[in-house]
Amino acid sequence: MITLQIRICQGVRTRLSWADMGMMGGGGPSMMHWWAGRRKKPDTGQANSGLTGDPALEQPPVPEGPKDLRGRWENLKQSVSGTTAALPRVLRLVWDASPATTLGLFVTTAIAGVIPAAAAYTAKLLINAVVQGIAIHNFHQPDHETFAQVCACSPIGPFQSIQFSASA
Amino acid sequence: MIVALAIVQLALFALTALLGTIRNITQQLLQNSVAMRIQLMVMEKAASLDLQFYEDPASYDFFAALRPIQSNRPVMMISTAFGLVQTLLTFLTMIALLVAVSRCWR
Repeated sequence: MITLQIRICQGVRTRLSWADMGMMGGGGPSMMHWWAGRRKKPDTGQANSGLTGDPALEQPPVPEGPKDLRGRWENLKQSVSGTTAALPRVLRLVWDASPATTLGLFVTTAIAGVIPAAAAYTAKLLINAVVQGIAIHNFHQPDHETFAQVCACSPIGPFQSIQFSASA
Repeated sequence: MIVALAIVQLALFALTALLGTIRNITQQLLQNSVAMRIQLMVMEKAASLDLQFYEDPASYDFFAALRPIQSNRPVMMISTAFGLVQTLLTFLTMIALLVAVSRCWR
């Protein structure tokens, strides 16, 4: 007898017999009936998995967490301590998988951690320079650059100084 | 001076975006490597077991549940830990910068 097992909802199996449907015995529709299988508990009854069993597995029930505040706090402490204890093993697993990529991830993360301070310092220098420029423009303060400095910094500075001396 | 500082600021923002991209790519590569390593470890363990072991429903269920396991959890843990290090570095450098700037203003 060929038996189809149709999962119609989580944990409930409905067995549909082809003989009962009349496809093998020639019976009419009145003989067709469904019977719903009972919900199987994982530790009772016949095993429905293994090499000779159904390849589709029922997902284990998700345990519900505690409802009260103390229970939640205990759960949080347990999860934090468990994560902290498992971190070295996880780090070893990831390092064994690819040391270079792990190192690259750490280096990029570390550089990204320093950048905000560098950006803030650059912003400070930029704001100071802008404020100094506004003060020079509004109050007609002397610029600190001298003519010799401008000539030394400019690529055509020596020629300009020679031309300036000749014209004078 | 101002133009040079503006260019430096632009370069820093570009570097931030570039580092984010590189970090994402590195994380994806690491996830693939870790997933392959975990699969390899599971296969090696499965090959070393006796056939009698698989007729036990509990052990078979255990191995079947290992197949679709989320193999990106280790990398997510490591990435979160590195993120904590990044936050700590940012905090320390910002504190040092603020101390230095406050000394300059005295």
